[in-house]
Amino acid sequence: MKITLARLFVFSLAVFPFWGGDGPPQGGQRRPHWKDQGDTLVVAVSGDADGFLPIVNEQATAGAIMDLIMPSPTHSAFDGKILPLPSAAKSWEWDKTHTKLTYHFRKDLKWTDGVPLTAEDMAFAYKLYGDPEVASPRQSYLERMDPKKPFELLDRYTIRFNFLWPYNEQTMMAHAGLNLVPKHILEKADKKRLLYHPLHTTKPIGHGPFRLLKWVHNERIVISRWRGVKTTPVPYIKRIVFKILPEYQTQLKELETGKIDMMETVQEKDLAKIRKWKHVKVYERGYRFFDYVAWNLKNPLFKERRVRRALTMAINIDGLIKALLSFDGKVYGTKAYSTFTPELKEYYDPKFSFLPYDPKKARAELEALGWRDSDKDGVLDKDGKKFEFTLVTNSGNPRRADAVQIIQQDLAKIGVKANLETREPVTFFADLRKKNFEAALGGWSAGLFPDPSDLWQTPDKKHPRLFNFTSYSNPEVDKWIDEGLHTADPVREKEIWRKVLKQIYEDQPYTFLYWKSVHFAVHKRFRGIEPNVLSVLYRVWDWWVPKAEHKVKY
Amino acid sequence: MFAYILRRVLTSIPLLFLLATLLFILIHMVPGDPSDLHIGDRFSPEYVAQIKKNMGLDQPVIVQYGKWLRNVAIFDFGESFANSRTVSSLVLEALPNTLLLSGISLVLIFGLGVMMGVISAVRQYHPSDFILTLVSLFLYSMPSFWLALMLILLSARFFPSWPLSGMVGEEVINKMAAIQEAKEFGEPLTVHLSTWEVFLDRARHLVMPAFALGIAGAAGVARFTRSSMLEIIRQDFIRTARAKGVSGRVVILKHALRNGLIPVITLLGLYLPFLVSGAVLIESIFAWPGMGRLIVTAINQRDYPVIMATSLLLAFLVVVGNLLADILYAVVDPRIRYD
Repeated sequence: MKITLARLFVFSLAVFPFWGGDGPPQGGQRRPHWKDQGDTLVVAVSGDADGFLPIVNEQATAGAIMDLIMPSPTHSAFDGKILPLPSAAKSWEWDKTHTKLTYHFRKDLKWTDGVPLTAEDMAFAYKLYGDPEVASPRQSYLERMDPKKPFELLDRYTIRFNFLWPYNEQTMMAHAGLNLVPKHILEKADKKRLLYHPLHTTKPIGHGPFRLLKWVHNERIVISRWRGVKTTPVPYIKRIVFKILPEYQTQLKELETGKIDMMETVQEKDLAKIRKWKHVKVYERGYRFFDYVAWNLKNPLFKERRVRRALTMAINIDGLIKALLSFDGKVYGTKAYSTFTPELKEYYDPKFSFLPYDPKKARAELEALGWRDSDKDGVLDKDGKKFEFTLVTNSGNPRRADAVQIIQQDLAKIGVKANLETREPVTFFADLRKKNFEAALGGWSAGLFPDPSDLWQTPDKKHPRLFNFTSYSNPEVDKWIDEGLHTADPVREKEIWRKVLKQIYEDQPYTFLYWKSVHFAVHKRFRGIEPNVLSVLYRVWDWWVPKAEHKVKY
Repeated sequence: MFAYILRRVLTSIPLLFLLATLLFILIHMVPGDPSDLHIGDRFSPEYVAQIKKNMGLDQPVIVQYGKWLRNVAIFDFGESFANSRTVSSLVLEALPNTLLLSGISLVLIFGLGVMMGVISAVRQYHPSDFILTLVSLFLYSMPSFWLALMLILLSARFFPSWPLSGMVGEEVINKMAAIQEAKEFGEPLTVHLSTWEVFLDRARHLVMPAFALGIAGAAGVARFTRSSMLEIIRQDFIRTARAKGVSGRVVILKHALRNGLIPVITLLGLYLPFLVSGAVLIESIFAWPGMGRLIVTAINQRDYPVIMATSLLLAFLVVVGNLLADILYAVVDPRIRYD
């Protein structure tokens, strides 16, 4: 494929409306010219990918790359909530009942192998997603669709999804917004063995700003710009190399010496140092992660709400933030009161009234419940039993290892004895699901859709709610969550979620600790970067390097 | 000799079988199983049940054991749970990388080690002996991962252009990519990549990990060789050789070293499994895609088939390594005979 002048002209017209991205140009810099195309972005990732077939992919790194090489009906933007933008679908509409969503596909799309890409590929993909035999991890995306007819193909370029009831529009769009797969390739594949299909393991056929060039296991993944893309502008950057570097310190040194251009996460303690490097810029992505202490409600110690509230009042959460998330005079954390990230601005209450840090009151509460230090050993007891339990956390996370120690000291001040234990991560999370713990310090990476059902609803036959680690059960909360999941009215929904979150906070199944903001670092020659809570490589097709600063010229 | 080898080989078979059984039991005793990792965005019990069924984890342990044993007997190690590929292909991909790295560090361990040991034995109590002893004790007691991190820190500080990790440098990666893009996507070809450039790039990437991996071992071998040599050069036959007027060099290298190396050969046999297991920490720090990383990732992912296959391979090599050391004894020491 030779690039003729005419081709380039057409191509630049096609991308013109996208130039400069959505945001204002950075620091008065000029906008990119087509001559600025080129250069390679080298990104360090800590683990290898699992595969690029959206039906069976599970792992996050691979997911981020998959989004750049496989098509989806819509793209996402984020502004306090997820906003869908046209991609393979040029438009969509809802019916009056807000349960039927119709996508109109672009007619000029082709897979990288030249075969036309249509709504038929979407229907085929959803048939696989929903097939129990395929065992797709995204099978539950079809849960709220009509089981008899979850979707129907109206014509080659039109597909309609039939939901059972109207609910949060962004979530509905996400449930009907999974990546597409090429029907003409997978049609004859053994659906039980999709994990081993070459489309997953070696060479995906896709449609996106990039395509997979090379994948050397445990070493590197190289994706290369695809000029045939129609769903996004053609990227400026010519290729992206994902270099698999398991050791954080090595990543840092490679960034410092310019061997890699980007680190997906940098630890807050290193930010001041990195900011001093002249060739690197740090970006903040907002609050995506939070830590909590889960109290096992099946344990007699934590059964009573008043006990849990007292324990929370004994823990100096502001002190934790200061000790663990403040570096060089900057604070990278904020107090948490729920599992909804503060980035979901619609549902976040900046004036939320937290339980106070008040060890005296905490102690008084416990004493009022009959806990006394009758043998004067510094630990409260009641009916001959001491207030003593094991607080577990996972190994390999220095922040959590420090946090449990501080919490242990805070609790000791009110006469509560926490013994510390560290478990290997896989075992730790399996134990949480099996409820094999007394108290546990863990963390969540928050989803960007409002749905607290997996964490807080009472388990039943159909929904074992394995993520409800604490065995939390409040019939009122159950009812409200159902109500929230059945409403499409944004005002009503906002009221419900605020009410739900407040009630859960009142009940304190968790002591919510803090949200941690996440940062990434990129070489300064890359421009047009808009940090976004959605993903690190958000709109990477808009990133560019001025011609004069190109490092890789081929 | 032949009968001895045959006997040893035959006795290793039940040994390996026992090892395999023990491994199987141990791995199934570790809490958590591979399906624990398959927790999707929204969890459904049917999904995990299906995953378990697909992996064969729903069958009784004894059935799983029988199936596994039968497959191992025909060298079929099955498919990895965590990577959508066969175990053999994973091992075959990682093994050459590890062999390259540990082969070079093995040369370093024994080459440098024996050399240092001989020098400090011959010049006992000479300043060079003291310096070598000091240096080798220092290196011997240094944890290899710490040395690795220090090497990275120092090289980043003083030789910023020297490669810190991986097997291939950014320039070669980009050139390879450009060539592939030209071939597959029809992009214009503007670069040239010579075999020499690729070789040099690989060699540069090997220096730090091989050094970090081998240097402590070399120091150990040096101490070992020194004491063994000291014992030999005091013996009568060395004095006789010297009295006969044989040159000092020949006495040391031919008469003394050949005898002094016998205990070192035991070490060589013990190092054989190391050649394949790689070094977990060194491979992680230097992002070297070898066996060590394969094994550790597999353990973290409870990827039973990979753990079992690699552990069995290592067990096999321990047995073979010991056998090899015994045979080598006979080769270097005519006094030893196996009947």
